[in-house]
Amino acid sequence: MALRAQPVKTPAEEAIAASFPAFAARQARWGGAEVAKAREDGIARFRANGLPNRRIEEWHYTDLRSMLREAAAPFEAFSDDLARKAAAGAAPIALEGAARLLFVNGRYVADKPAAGLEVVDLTTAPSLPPVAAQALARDTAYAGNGAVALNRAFTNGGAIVHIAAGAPHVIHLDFREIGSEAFSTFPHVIVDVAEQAQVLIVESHRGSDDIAYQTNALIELKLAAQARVSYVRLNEAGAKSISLATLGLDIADHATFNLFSLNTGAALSRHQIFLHSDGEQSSIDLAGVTLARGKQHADTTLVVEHKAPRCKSREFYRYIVDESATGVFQGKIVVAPDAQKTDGAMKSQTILLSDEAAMNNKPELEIFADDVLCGHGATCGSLDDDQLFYAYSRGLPPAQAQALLLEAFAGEALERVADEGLREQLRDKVCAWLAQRVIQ
Amino acid sequence: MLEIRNLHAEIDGKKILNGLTLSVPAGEVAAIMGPNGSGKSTLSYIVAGRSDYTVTAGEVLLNGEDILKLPPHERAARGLFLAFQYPVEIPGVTTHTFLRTAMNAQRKTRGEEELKTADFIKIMRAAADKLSISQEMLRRPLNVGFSGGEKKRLEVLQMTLLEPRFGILDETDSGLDIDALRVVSDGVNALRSKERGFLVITHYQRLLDYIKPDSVHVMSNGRIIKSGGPDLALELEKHGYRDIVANAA
Ligand SMILES: Nc1ncnc2c1ncn2[C@@H]1O[C@H](COP(=O)(O)OP(=O)(O)OP(=O)(O)O)[C@@H](O)[C@H]1O
Ligand SMILES: [Mg+2]
Repeated sequence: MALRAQPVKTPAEEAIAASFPAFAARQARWGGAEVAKAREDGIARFRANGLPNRRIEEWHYTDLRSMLREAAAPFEAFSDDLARKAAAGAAPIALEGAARLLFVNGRYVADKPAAGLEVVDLTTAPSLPPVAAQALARDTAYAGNGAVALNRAFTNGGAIVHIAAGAPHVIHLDFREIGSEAFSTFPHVIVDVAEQAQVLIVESHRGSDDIAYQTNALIELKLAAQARVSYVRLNEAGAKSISLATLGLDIADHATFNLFSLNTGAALSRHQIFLHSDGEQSSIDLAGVTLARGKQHADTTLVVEHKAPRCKSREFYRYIVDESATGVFQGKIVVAPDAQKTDGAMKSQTILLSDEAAMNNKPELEIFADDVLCGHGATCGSLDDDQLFYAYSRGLPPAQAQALLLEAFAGEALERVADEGLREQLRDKVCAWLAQRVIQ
Repeated sequence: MLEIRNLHAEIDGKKILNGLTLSVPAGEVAAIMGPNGSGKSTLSYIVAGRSDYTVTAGEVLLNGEDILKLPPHERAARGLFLAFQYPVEIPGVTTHTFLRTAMNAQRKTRGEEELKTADFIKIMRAAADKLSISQEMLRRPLNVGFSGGEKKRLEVLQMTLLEPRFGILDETDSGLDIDALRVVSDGVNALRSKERGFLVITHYQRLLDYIKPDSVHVMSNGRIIKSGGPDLALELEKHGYRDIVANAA
């Protein structure tokens, strides 16, 4: 019998496991049997596997075991005062007429209610309404993912949202973390989008730059047939924070899902997307811009599974990595045997602005159908010398020429945001980041 | 106006310019002709300030100032302009944005006020019309997908807007159809004045029928090997470079 080396648990892992029984007991007053079961399931996986680490292939470039040195206790001290304080903070983005769902340190605390939108607070005592309970009990392919398991074990807030066909057009999932000492949050949000509903969902994360808080969000989105969802994600998490987030997507036939993600925040961030396309002729577009500097580590990991024929998917990610930051892009497209005529194209492109900057690219195709059109490409380089010289020769000083080219590079991904007002705000954020660049 | 004295330059240890001397007084147009690979584009890049080349000897003076130590954007702000033989594509930047950025950058470097958007648009439209450049083209990303001739017309549009004191045109005529050649030449001629000088690099005498040069120079192996009046171009057209190059060797 082969001996498998059982790695010694790190102090952080020990602390997380030790904190669970008391935490679960304190939280048992809400959520009912479904939440309790999810917690037991999550902690069992955590006990077996520990924190995600480089021995696990999908975490090879983001070794959470070595990066998460100190466990921070799950946040429990909610108060109306805290919620008021968080709500008073500046909005990360201006969204006219949006229904806002505010999550403070993981807990769903407030909304601007709107017709066609039903929201159930996950912490509703003592048990959940049946529809919400069913949504929570859904089985998913990514339940074994290390971050997801931790979220399920330590869920400290969240909501279940139903978006009907006549719902408001813009919904803002506004996550804010505030406090004076480190804590961790584990919000779980489930969003069901009804048949033919059309909606723009904006998910934003913002938090204090002064504390090393940790967030681990799980958002699960189910699109019914012919639903059309535009999704914009904004990671502006605090400079010292660890920001893990998982987006689980279940997409039915003839549905359209377009995502754009702008990542600038957190010391360590990982955005995982697990997309499962189950119906014919769905259309999927995932795009993003990651801007990283200092010692930031920014990871985007996608798994796009095509299960039904004639679906289309595009993945288009751009990274600008400066100073000694590290970018990670992992994209996997899986085409099941039945998913004939899948049309998939994935591209990731990176500009490295310093010798210490690093990028890890891992595109993968797993194709089990024979009549498909799938491809991927990844490039990684520095700014183009010919383009730079052309701009200089027209009178642009180096800093301005570089900013122009970098804005253009990010801009080509931004073009995918259909809403002009939103796109321009995102562009302003990119320009603000570029303006802070220190050029040696 | 532009004085190049005994210029030697190399790239990756390969010598390309070998003691090139050329003087273009204000108000004049000098034409350079010469075989492929003789170093014409290299000369224009070095004068404009491209950093991959190493100048091992010589000097380049613009209005009496040695510009070799200046970074390219400062040379531009002092009035130097290069129309590229191969204009560079910049995806993601509209032509319109690029033009405005360039005009304002030069103004800023010179300590002048930025152009108001409305004024810029007026100036740009008028200049584009004269060069038969459509507004649609100006909304597209810079040079991306432009035809060879369109790119060359856009170079001349940039030169028109930036109003340089000295313009270098590197094969701006190649790729132009007969009508475009006339339009572009008219554009260049409109800029000719007592204060401005031009260096026109071309392979074809035909361009010089439109843009009448004051002097013609033959370049070979990184040097000027023969200089003369406009007639020299006609002579080259008839007999080619062989005898001249052989005599110089
Ligand atoms: N980066 C480089 N590395 C090596 N050799 C180079 C480089 N750039 C230019 N050269 C060489 O220098 C010589 C001069 O090139 P240049 O482009 O200046 O010629 P040209 O006179 O403009 O030619 P053409 O008429 O074809 O445009 C050529 O032999 C070319 O191959
Ligand atoms: Mg040339």
